[in-house]
Amino acid sequence: MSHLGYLLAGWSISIGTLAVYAFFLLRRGKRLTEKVPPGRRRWISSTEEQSRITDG
Amino acid sequence: MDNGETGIDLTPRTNQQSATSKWIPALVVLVIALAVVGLIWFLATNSQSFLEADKAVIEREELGDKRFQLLGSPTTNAGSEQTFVIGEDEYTLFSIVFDGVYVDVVSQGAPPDLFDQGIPVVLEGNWEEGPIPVNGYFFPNGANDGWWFATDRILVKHDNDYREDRVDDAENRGQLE
Amino acid sequence: MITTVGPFNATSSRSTRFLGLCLLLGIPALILFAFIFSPEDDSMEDAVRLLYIHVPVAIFSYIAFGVTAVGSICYLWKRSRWWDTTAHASAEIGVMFCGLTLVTGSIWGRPTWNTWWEWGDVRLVTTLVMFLMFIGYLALRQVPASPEARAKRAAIVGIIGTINIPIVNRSVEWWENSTLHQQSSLTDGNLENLTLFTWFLGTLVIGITYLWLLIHRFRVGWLETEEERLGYGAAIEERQAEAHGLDVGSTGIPEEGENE
Repeated sequence: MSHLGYLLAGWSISIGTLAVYAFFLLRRGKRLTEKVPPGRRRWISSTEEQSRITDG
Repeated sequence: MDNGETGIDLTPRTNQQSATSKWIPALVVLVIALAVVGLIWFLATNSQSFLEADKAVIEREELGDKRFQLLGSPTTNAGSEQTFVIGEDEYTLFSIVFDGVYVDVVSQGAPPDLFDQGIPVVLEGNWEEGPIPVNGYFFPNGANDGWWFATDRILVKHDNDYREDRVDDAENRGQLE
Repeated sequence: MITTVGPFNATSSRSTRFLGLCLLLGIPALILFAFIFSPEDDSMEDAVRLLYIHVPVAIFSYIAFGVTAVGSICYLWKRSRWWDTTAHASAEIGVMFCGLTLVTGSIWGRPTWNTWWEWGDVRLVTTLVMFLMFIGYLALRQVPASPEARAKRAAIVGIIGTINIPIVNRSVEWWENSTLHQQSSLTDGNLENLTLFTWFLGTLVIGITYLWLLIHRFRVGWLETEEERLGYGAAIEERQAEAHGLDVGSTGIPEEGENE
């Protein structure tokens, strides 16, 4: 395969950046969730969802 | 205000916004405004930065030895028979065409990987008149009019066609010889 | 109130889990098509495989900044926190996508154009300006202010920044002789078969990635505001307790933003 170095650099930077951003985003969400009660998280719509999160 | 019992001042606190927080938004807005102005200036003054080969030939006298970017399509690929080493310098000789007007080119160094017949290139350099560094060379599919373009930087302006039969189409459109 | 959550499910819901599953299947499929099933190009050879990531992230950086503009306009109109949070979330993802567009474009440009970067190139410079403008937008949001003042300032900058999107997108047509960048292959009908399919798959996968990130980032933004509000509430309670001479275990240090 020609230009392999460029291909690996381009794809790994892209996927790596997206993965790192996603990781830190989820971690930030987890940290904040521990400080905010479930009632203030509007995306938790069902009791099932609430109990799932509360139980971990 | 003091409630007299606790000795605590219950006067509502005034907004103690720091000086820094006041000027930073103004600075950010100023930088963005400058970026918009700079962008408009750049777009207004930088247009037509590549000079097509036919126009470059017409403006040859005015351009003199000024360095500019020349646009055209190579009439041949860059084979080993077009590469010459004179002293410590390596030269590649080829011609480009735009709208039926040919320009002979003397390039210092090897052309890039994608350099090929019919794929437009942008050459950075200047006009020269007189004998080329390789004595007695005749440019196949070239102008051979005593003028040549001396370049030390070749950029490839790749087209947007990714179909398998695009070379045939290019031939049909008359972009290839 | 302290809530126990799993390691990464704090801002997730059924929709994000479904999108996440699509990504777990879509990203490997895209890599397979980009590197193995799709053909190499006649002239640029395997460098064409970079376009299956470069073009989708570029398209979704436009979309992300477009969503920021819509969110900004709707915020100024409705004064709704929902729109402000959406605009902010989309801008952050847009900056990341735009940065990736510049980096992958530069990596593709070296073997294709024979240069990493051209300062005189209108497509490259307008894209860089767009990137910097939205970094300015994010920087502005970090400046301490009341939530309303912060949202209003950001909305104005978000709308100004978006003016650049059509300029970036059309620059290859309007200033054809000032850019090495090619014109759109899709609108010109210059993609076919597996090349077209892989491009489409890349756009779909990056689109799902954008949506997944946007939902999570929105929720993080929502939580940040909630935390800020809870902080204000606690500060007010603390001051009321101080006023009544009660000991609430205060450190005596005023909470940030107490005066706003």
